[in-house]
Amino acid sequence: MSTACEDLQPFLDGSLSAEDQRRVRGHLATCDVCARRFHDLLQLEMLARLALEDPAESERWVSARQARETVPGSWDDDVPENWPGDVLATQVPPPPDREGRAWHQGARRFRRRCPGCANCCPWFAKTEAVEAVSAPRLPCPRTSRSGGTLMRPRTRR
Amino acid sequence: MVPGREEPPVREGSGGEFAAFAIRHQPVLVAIARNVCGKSASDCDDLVQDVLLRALLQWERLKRWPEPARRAWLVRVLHNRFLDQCRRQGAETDRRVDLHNVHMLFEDPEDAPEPEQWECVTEDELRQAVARLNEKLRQAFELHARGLRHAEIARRMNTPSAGTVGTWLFHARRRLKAMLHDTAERRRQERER
Ligand SMILES: [Zn+2]
Repeated sequence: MSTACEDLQPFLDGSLSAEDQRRVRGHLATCDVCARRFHDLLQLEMLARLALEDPAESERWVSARQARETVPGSWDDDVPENWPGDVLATQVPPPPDREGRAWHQGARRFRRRCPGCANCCPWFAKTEAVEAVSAPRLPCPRTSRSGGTLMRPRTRR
Repeated sequence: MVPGREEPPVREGSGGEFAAFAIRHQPVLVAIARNVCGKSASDCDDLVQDVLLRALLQWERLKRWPEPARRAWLVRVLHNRFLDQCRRQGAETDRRVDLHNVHMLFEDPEDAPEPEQWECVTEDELRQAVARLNEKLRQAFELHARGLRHAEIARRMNTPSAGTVGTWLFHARRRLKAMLHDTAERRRQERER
């Protein structure tokens, strides 16, 4: 690995000296690994410059995220909409300002305990709505928990 | 479009479609080419012209593609042409396209051997991922994407060193790449289902 391998980003940003630029160009011509990394950098660069040229548009996404963060359980897109709201929140009530985030972390912990078993985690599948709550409570083959205590519809705060 | 910037009139039909495509992408291609081609303005112009000319020659095919796939193709051409330029500078062999070897323009080595993740990542998804970065990384990355130099970003963000900006951008890119990879991967799995 040449020192040029570490300079790809400053090179792309045009912040290298003329001498170093020449060195990186010469290196890119011969090093496949760096050429591949540079390809990814270029793709991201083009996409970002096109997508972010309008500040108002990116601002919209930031406010959307901030709005989402204040809704418990929806901090991350990975957390199903109808995740049971009171299961973990009763263990450690999160401070109001961190509620969304804490909720998400709680969801992660929960999911690790029960890796996606449809029997005890009706909320795991995004497509299954609240009806899943009344689904037959078969024992979970992985953890042998019936999930009875979890089978409550999520309460929104 | 940046507010206040007049949009040039675009003709109807496929010529007009290409014009709209070229008008949107050309400034970005120029900005990137300027950074990587060094002092040589002619290398920069050659590179951008070569890329857009190839897009024009392939337009009948490209115009039917979804936007992200078209953008990814354009970057592949940019990358390949740029590497060509780098090799030329090393070897002193001139593979520049002129009237004698114009056929090279029609050879199309730019199709990726296999689909790459960038072909399906949309601009909205990028904006969404950027919005999830922490505040400093996000600000630095947004200012960079608007064409500001490290030193200017440092000044606007009240940071003494341009090197810090470089570090922020480094981490921003790494996070974004990971997030977009997850997005693309999820989409691919959904499609296969
Ligand atoms: Zn290398």
